[in-house]
Amino acid sequence: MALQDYRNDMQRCSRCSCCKWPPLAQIKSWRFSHVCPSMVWGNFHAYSASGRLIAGLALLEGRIDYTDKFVEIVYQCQMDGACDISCKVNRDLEPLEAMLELRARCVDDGQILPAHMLMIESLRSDDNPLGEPKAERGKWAEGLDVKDIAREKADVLYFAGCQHSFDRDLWGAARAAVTLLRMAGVDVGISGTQEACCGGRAYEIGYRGEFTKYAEHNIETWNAAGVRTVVTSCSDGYGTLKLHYPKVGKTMNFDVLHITEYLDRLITEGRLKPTKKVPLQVTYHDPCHLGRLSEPYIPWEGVESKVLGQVVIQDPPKKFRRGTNGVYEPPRNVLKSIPGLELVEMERIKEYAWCCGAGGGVKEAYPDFALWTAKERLEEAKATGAQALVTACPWCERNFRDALAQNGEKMKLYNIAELLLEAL
Amino acid sequence: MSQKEDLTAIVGDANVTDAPEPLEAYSRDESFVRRMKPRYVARPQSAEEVQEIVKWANRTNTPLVPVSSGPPHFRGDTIPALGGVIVDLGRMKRIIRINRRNRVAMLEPGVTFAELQPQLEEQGLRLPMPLCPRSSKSVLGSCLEREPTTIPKYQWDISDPLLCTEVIFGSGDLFRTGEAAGPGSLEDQWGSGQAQTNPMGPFQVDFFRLIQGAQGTMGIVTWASVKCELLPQLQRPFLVTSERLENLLGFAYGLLWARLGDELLFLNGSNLAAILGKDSDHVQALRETLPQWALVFCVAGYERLPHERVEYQEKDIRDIAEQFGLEPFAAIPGARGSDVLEALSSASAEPYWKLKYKGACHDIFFLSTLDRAPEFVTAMYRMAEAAGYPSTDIGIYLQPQMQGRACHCEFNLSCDPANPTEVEKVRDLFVDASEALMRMGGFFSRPYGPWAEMAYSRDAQSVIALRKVKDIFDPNNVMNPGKLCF
Amino acid sequence: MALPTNVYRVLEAIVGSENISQEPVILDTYAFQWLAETVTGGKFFTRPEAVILPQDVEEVQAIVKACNRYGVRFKALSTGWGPWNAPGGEGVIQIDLRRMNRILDIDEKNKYAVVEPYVIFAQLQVEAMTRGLNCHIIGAGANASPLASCTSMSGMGLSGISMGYSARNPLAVEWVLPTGDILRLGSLGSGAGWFCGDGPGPSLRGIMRGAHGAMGGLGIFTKCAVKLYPWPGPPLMQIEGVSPSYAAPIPDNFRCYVLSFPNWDSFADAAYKIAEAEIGYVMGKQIGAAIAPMLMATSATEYAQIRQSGTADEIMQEFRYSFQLILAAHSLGEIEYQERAVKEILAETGGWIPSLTQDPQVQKTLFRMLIKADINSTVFRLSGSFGTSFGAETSCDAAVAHAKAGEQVKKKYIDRGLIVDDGAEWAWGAEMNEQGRYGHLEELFMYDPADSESAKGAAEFLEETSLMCKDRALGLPIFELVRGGLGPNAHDIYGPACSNYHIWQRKIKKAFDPNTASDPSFYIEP
Repeated sequence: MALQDYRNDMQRCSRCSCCKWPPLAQIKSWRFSHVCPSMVWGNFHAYSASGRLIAGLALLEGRIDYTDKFVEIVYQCQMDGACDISCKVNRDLEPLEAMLELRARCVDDGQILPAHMLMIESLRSDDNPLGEPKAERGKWAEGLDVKDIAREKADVLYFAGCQHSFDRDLWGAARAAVTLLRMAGVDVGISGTQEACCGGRAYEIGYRGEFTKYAEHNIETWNAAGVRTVVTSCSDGYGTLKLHYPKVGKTMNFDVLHITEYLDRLITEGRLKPTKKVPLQVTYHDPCHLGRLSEPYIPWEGVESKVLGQVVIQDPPKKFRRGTNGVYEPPRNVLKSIPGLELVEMERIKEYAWCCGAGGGVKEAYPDFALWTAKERLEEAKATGAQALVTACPWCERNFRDALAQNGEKMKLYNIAELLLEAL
Repeated sequence: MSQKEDLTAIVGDANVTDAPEPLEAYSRDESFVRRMKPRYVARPQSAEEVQEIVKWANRTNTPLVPVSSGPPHFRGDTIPALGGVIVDLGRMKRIIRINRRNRVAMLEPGVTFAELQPQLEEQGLRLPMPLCPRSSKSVLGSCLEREPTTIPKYQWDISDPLLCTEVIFGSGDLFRTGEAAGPGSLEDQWGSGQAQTNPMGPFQVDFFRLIQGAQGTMGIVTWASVKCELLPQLQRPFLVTSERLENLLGFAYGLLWARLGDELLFLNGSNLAAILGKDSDHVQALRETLPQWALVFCVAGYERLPHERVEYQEKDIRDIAEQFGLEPFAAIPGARGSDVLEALSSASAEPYWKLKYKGACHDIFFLSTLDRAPEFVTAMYRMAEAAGYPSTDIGIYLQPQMQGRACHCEFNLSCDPANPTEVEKVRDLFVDASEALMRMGGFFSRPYGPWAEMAYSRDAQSVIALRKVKDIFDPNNVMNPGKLCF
Repeated sequence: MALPTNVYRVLEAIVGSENISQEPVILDTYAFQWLAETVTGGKFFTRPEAVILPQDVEEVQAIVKACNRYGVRFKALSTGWGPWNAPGGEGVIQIDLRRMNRILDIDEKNKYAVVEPYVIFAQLQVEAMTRGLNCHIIGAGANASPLASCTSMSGMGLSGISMGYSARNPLAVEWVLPTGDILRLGSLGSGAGWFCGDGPGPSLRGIMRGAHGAMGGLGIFTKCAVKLYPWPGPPLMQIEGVSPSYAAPIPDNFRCYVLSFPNWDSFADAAYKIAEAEIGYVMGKQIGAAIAPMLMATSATEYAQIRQSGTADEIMQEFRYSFQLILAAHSLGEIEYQERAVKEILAETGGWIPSLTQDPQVQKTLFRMLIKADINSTVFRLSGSFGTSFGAETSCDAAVAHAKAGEQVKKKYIDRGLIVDDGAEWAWGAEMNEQGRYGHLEELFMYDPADSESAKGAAEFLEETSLMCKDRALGLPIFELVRGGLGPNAHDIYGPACSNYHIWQRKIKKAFDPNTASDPSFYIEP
């Protein structure tokens, strides 16, 4: 779809501002009652989903043209989708889809942020958006002696993702994931240096072409490798595989699981038995791309028509993704299976969780904003009284680590796989 | 034509006077406000006559002072500061309409509580009343003064029970406030089911709020609709007592939060005695028997399941009382709840209860919140002692308002009007204590007499704004000039 | 007319460069409004000259004084939902109060909270509930601002039976007048606190607003004490389920009903009886016939399928003359009493409880909707937008007369295909404010803002119904919509039929805003 295909949605925005808050019934306190980091940071209405729909309409109607401010408004947003969830409680609109189209339009029209250009150049040269040399990609797995699927067949491919591959601080999570799988007897392999980015970040910042390239490449590679399952610890990657990959139109001959889903299954089947006590009170951060943004893609192609006078319907009927079928229970089940561990929830969780701040190209283009967003989340974690924050995404983890370092905070931070490993 | 002739042409010969006696009577009241004689007293009978008087006053630059209630007056607001004409509305005594379905009555200014309540009772209604008003007190006057009523749960807004009004502004224009403004005449509105129960507007101005509390400085109200309630079929009054006011507050807040009870008010022993006592001796005797403080409340059942309602409310109230170590009684030594309720349900018998003890009484009242009442009480006692006024003579009435969000705090200073020393003492105490209580945060929202200058000197912006309002509705300042900040 | 650079600099110096903007993309997000298409034919009103974000009353005052000095108009907004928020013409700056978003105090004993403009009902409610208190929430929903509602707008909502109407809920207020002077109403002005908004003497709340507020036309309100009301429920309501069907378990001391009646007359009788019995925590016609099928649907498409299949016919009939009712009690004895009263009233009026609503899951969903007041933008779901008509606050009988009149007019527009066919019935309200003193029934209608014919039809409907109110003595309609229907001369059309209020209101405007600095477009042109 193109930007103009969302014109009706833009016109039907009522400017109710629900996109700025969690679903209203889910607000639990004044302190943690916002859901849109961009709006809290930017304050002008333009920084909300509604604001971007209006900006898109103004652009389409020729009322405005591109300016630095316009581009900033478009890109100073983690694309976390919380606005989309809140809007859809009461409306049949697609704010997130429209915002993604707006980004794609910006890129098509040459309105590019330098920080994002660097990401794309890195992708093109080294298959990752982080500016890291491709040759270093497999180092995280040194000493693990894991199958390389280019050389050996494996049932399951562990997809490390760019962040786990290159961020030394986060290698532990990937190593723990692979270790746990092997402990459970899973026939797992990796791609090592041959692994390429999932392309998700490129999609989010508007580079559809780049994304498609990586999606097609990965699907073809994994089909060819004959893996039955692709499992990843990277929630960004997971969300990309579940939601965006099906859009390229290539058959995926494999299931996609997040590591928490797999671990939950293994624990339920008795193939992993956490027995060691981990006496800790923790709270869990729902990564956007594992939660509301991981709901599987529901293909729809149809037209809008009207019945009963002016009731707007989709023909064929369209199922709206409201974020409620994300991966919420498996990570919680994993945590609950750890003896001695107590889970206390934050106020904004599941489909209305506050973003970690890293996504949508914000970490690269607006690092202060990314860190501020993370600090807000850390405040919320602290308010639960928990000793530690657990997450299931390396982008979240990296951003939280950076925020903690900047704050000088003492809160512990865990990846869920590493925590589970402690219990075995 | 002379002024008298002008007025006679409007209201008729029998309804204008400049005889010495009535002029003398209107020149003063029970307050300390300086005396001033009017030139005439005019007694109109209709809105048309009122309007003619007001227009005439504008043409001749003559001050007007509207008076709805009969004497004695207590606040100084009916004394004509600059002379002029007393517009006595006592002849306007129609109860225009009582509508049971919408629980509303519409009446003219001369109707008293004693006249209204029986009419309401016939239709199964009652009007929440101020505390034992004098028999000559005008219902409409009381509502315009924002007098507190004894049933806080029925007071949703400080303006209750006043609803719509018809008013002749100081400019001479006739206006109807609230939904009575239109579209349509009153008859049209009644025809479509309206009952003038919405006081707001019309549209973006609450005109009635500008008239209420104005001491007649904005215009003259010729009728008002007032919010009535169901007449209880069953009532059970109670008294909860303590030597310390603080001990009763939590319990009272509990009742207010749970919306339990109808009448709910605090009286100190002096005031309870004054209300129940038949004469001065009896009042004195009761004061020695009654406890320092009594919280008076009443549980009621109406038309639907009255017994069941009273039963659950009484149980719930006792449960709350127990949490505070208190017990409600139907009677205490010296006072029966039923006698108190009877007193609360009607106008005061003669003599007016405040005058029973010593013959005169000067009231200091203001708004605060119930939790601050003990501070004000302590301060008042201290100031009285310092002034040589026996604190045991101070009557105290605390009335939760707006469902418990504010509290009318009232100190009644009795004195012998024939004793100049005593009067002087009370006058000084009245002024000094008023100033001190205001400094402590007492909000003198109804600034009668000397309170006007005290209150308005603290709030310059309100003065500027009110003067703008005055300029709009009474551009020639004919309405009760010299009152408030005008 | 661009804002002169020197004026921009003055404003920038007040708030800092990051808190003011003249960027067209930002300006357009303030010009865009719901219902714009019924007035301008498009989604945008006039673009403001700038948008400025003050953080406290001192900055607001400085901005307003600068506007007076330099002849610039201003219009303040908080959450900004509705055409009354947008500039009324050229040369207006928008003062977005977004940064003034704190709950300053909650006085638990005396039942009020002091809030800034950008606090929303949802925030105030959750904080109040932890203290055994709740707040009245208006029909627009929990995403609206209590300060804005109390000082500047209307204020009807289904919690009105136990929590009043917003015009009656402010206590003291801090108010930056159009001249830039700061007026503090009531006890606040006298240095006595926040508990009373009236006096000394006459109440200037009467100037601040009437049945409706000045909608930006009389300065800016920066703090407001808002009444809170008892909440005998849990300190934090548990929410179950998934979007859009969140549900809330009903505590033992609450009940949640839909009560249906055979016709308007028995509906009104029952409403009066409920009010007189002094029961009812939330009450009113939130879900009429038109919206009832949404209880079984999660999208407009599903709704249409249900309607067209005929499976919604029965539920639509049952909801046609119905109101929703929540009982809340402080004790077991009280809830038993209330339940008995409801049973008696149903028997006396021929009412019944629809079978669909006896389902516990439906009840839990309704309970959430009515307490949390969070479904209100659902009215936009079916066609993209809605409008309303009639709606004067008045007696229940008169409100029913409005509903009947509304139905008659609506049929014509449905027949022309301009608005959603809702069975020609969607009267909303009957909230029996303050235990039955006054309430309203507004006739809602749904149209498509992306369809110019439908938008024109909406404008026509607004105009026709607005004039009907005047000509047939059907009360004064909800003003903000009237302005959209009848335009800037609405007051001159209505005034002569209503005691010439417009003459007085105009004098007030002149007196308090001599420079017409405060955008008068939704108040009154001087």
